[in-house]
Amino acid sequence: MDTLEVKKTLLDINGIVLAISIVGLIILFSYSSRYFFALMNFRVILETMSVLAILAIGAHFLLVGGEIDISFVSVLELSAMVVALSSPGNTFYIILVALLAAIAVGIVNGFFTTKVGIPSFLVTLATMVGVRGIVFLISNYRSVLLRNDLVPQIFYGRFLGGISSAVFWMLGAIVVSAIILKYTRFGRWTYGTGGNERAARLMGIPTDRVKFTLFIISAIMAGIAGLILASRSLAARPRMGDGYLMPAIAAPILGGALLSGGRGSVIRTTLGCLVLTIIINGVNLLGLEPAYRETFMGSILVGSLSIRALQQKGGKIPFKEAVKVFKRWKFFGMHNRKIGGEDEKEEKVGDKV
Amino acid sequence: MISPKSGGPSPKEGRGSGVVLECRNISKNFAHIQALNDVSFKLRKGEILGLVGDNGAGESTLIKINRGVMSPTSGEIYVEGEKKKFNSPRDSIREGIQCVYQESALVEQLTVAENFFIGQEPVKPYAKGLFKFVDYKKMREEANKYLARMGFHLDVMEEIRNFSGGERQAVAVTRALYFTPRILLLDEPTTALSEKAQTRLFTLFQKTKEICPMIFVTHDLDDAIQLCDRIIILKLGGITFESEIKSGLRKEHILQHM
Repeated sequence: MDTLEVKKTLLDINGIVLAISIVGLIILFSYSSRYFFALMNFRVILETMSVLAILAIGAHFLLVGGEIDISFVSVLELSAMVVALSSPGNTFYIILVALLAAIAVGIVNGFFTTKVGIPSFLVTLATMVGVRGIVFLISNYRSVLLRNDLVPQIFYGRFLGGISSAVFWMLGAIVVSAIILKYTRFGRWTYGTGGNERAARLMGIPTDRVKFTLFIISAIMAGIAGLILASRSLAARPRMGDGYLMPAIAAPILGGALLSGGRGSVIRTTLGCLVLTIIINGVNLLGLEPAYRETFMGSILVGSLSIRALQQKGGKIPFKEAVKVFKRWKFFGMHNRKIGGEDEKEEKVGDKV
Repeated sequence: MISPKSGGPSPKEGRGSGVVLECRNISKNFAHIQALNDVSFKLRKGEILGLVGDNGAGESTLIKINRGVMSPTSGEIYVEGEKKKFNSPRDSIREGIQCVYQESALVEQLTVAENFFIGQEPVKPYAKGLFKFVDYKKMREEANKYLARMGFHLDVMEEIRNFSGGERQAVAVTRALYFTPRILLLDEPTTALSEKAQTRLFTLFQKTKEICPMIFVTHDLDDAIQLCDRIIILKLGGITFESEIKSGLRKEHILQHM
């Protein structure tokens, strides 16, 4: 990435908001829980984040391309279940079968969206439900143990100072995806297709083929995430992907991706994942009910989207105006504090008298 | 993959009076509507051919067929005597046919440089050609240089949405010319432009027609008379009139056929 791009990425308003959110959350949770600001906990955060980040990057690809995939939660479950059911077979073979099962769903999504012309939200909603049904059927509604020693080693084994390999899978996904989107023709075509599909097609970009590939990439990412989850718990169970749908879609959006396509950044999507994972971790450490976690996540998402809406409306974030409004806002007690201060001063003067 | 500057012949090869593009008996039906009915015409080297007609006369459909956006129901297309079938815009780009559209065909979220090379990004080989990555430096430099040469001084790193309609169209036209096309299709490219910008573009087209012949689609007869060497009038999907412009042609005479 050249300097201009680094500058552009870092100075992007979404990047700034995410960076401030991360620092703010770290300060907040460090102050609230003495277990938060510890090396061990940061390792836990990275490991927890890995599955979410891989799913979010897959979802991000499709969002940039102007489509959406919500079936990845079921694809994750399918890949986990297939690897567990195929175990203890040949390690390479069972991983391949699990990933091929995931790719098959990606092909179905791609086919019905690009060839039949059904909106991707509806297609992936249908495959999400359908694949979940398949997972129930093949597992007979029960958890299945992963009876292969090598698969957990590959996807969740400890390396380099006890860091889980899932973190390295996540880092690999981030680097490869960032390079693909930024530096390959396919990546540029993805932005073009998402930004203005008609213009992209008229300029010779095979938009259907681009979208088809994006669905397969999303499915592969979900397949890898499923293998990591199965390796982490040494078992696969139906509905083990529950809870990933909202954050995996929210993370790219927090990072500046648009549902209409053409925008998004892998780095900022990763930062979005970090924000959401810190919230999950912090709320858990504080022993709060999961409802707080959801409230936190929802608030951050609404806040981020509001800033972006303001930005799009005015071209720039009206910081000066915002500060003026903030100062005038008696609700926050700033005005009262000033009066209070004067009162206090008067009292002191009175005391002296 | 299409490589930039891979399009057509050299300027010298483009000279002469030979036929570059020929459409033979092109018809196009949309359900019960016949958009084109047995249309035949030739585009010769070094000329600008005007396709003039009211809305729905079929001239844009004809451009779309030559661009590969849609296939004709019947009829054939010949490029320099060779029969061609365009299944997608990519096929026509491969044959050196570039197009400028009324709505510019630009992606708002991308920069001028990215839009300039969209679909035909230059790549640089790495690791002994194992990987090929988009060459941003070349994109920036070439777009900057070529736009400046055409008289348009734009910040190529700025997103295209921040520019006026005229500037966007300037990018679209310059982009089409950059790839040294064999044939340039102009589908109402001056509709959104000011008179000044239009005059500038017309001068540019006149200068470059020797390198690449053009088909200029317009509803405005005055524009066609000003720019073109020959015009064809289309009405209800059929050709009603065809003539050289330089033969003392009167506008009133042409209007009778529209």
